[in-house]
Amino acid sequence: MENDEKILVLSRQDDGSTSNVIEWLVKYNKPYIRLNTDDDKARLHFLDIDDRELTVSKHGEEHNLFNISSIWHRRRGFSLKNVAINFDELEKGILFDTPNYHKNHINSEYKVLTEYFHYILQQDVTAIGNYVSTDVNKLIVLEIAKKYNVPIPKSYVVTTKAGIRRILANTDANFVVTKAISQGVYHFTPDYGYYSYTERITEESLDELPDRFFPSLLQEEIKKKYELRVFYLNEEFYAMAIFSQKRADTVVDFRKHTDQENPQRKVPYNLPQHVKQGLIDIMNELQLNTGSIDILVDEDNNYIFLEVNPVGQFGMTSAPCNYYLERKIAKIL
Amino acid sequence: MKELATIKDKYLYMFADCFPVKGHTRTMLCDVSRQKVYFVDNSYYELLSVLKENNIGTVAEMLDGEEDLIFFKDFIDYLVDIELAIVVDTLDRFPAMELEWDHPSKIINSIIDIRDEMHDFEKIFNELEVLACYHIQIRAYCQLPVSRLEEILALTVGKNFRSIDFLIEYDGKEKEIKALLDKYEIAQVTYHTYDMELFDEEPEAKNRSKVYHGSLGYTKQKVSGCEGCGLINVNSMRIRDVKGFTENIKHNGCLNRKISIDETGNVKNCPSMQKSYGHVNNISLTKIADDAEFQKPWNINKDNIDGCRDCEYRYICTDCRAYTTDGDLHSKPAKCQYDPYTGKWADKVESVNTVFA
Repeated sequence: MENDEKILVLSRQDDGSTSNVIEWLVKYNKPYIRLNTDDDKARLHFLDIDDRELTVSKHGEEHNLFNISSIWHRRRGFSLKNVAINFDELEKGILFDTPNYHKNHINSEYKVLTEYFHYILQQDVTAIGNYVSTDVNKLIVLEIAKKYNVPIPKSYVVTTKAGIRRILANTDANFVVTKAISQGVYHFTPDYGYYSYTERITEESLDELPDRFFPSLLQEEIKKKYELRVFYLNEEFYAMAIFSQKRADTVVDFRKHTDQENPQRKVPYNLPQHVKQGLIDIMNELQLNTGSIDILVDEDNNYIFLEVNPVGQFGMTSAPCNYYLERKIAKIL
Repeated sequence: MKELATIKDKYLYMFADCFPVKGHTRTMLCDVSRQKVYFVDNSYYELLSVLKENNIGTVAEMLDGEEDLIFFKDFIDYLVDIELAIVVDTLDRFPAMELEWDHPSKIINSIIDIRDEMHDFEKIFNELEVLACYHIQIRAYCQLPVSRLEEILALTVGKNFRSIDFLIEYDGKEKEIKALLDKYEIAQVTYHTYDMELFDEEPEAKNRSKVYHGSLGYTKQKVSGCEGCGLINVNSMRIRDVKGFTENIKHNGCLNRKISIDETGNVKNCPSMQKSYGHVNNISLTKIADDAEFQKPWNINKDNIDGCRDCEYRYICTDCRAYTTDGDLHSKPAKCQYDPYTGKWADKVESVNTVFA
């Protein structure tokens, strides 16, 4: 068994940022183990709670995860692919009239186990990210922002057309925008890529809606000067301003930009001190030491907090601003 | 655009990814992210420097005469119009781009030349992997049997290489080559000495020196040896991204973190250079990569090269240290077509226009 202390990188194999950080780990001669949620290369072998042994094998080598020196929660890392499961067997019915019951049971068993791994692995070691917060609740985050007097968009959850009319009647904003309450859709199959964007709802578009619908998050549109994407790491801020207002197609959601020849401006940005303090308060309450934060700066220079993504893509901030975030992360680990 | 008086308390912010580069005859405004360049008179370089420290009203007061004020306003309008700058309340929020350049790999790219004899690619690839060199170009000054190509590619299996680009003499074996490229996704092949017409879907392609048919590239140029390299003209100017630009400011655009093996197996900074650090069969590439003497050319940036230091193209030019005007490591590339002291390209009838003179 390898007993040298290693860095544990919990990720997915399709995460390019992980590979870029690992290039720096290699340069600094820092040994690491990478566990991917979406491959079956790592195998869980044995856990001895008393004797501090949690054995995982990868590429023929065994590692005791109790010996790690630091951990990076880039993604979950562990999944059912790390254990011996006969998926054909699992597809067969076991209970006479409830075909999925045993699958849910297996998932629950493994969930408790992986929760324990994440809990125990981040004790007493340097950690970037935090397992319990990899999936934050957007509405609770807005609530926390409010608590620390950080401005947020006026936000509503509506279930009826009348509800939208009420909002539109009482606002100075021209539009409200729809957003996912959890994470937006981001799904790839061999043939298709599916995304959801932030979209406008106007008086005219109401006609297409039924009278009652599934609870939907609406926010009043902010007249923005520019948008900020902020990478946060241990109370340090790496901010980038995105100028997207000029072209009609990116006014609501900058990801929808289509003009290949004139990509939006992405430049380094200094946050004012009072904004930094508000963000530190939010992140501390969420027990997060890293994340990607979205902010809008409106025409009156208000900094309006939109959301934080604990596992956001920082490569898109690092490269245009020459921040070398991958190197900073590798140095901390 | 509003009158100057209405924006006198404001500042002109030139986006941090746009860089004014002052040359002997004119200044290049280099829009790195959009990969565009504009040329203006050098007096505007000074104006942009002053605008970094002063608001628009203060700068207007420094100018004398109605005419200069009109030029000033037109210049601001122009920069805003081409989206190189915007008018802002304060510059405090907008820092300059850090010009640092760094890379995790000891060696970033490698050129391997072959003609008649084959090198020991197994040894070379093993050592390049240790150096974390993931981009390799293999230039063949001859036809290369498909079986040879496959032998070389088979040695890359299980390695972390990201790209293996072959340049080989045309032999009409496209079908076999394409099958091979399907199998080895990191490989690319460009044929040289292609004697038929170059076709492409786009009509302007006939002016290009290289076209692509699917995954294969074609050029009519006969690449008979490494001495064909080193030409510097308008078409060899490259703006990659912020990282590429800062690398060019700090380091040599061609040789930085490169290791090369010439057709006879000598390890060099570039196959065209004279100095050899030993034969690849007898010396380890990792040892040469650590050699202080070997690393010296990596740091010859344009500020250290005669002529280039006065050239407005200096940070988007790849440079060449193998063929220089008097053979010195710090003199101008011999095959450079541009004269920074006249602002003229020798190989072009029309010069690239200075749009804001």
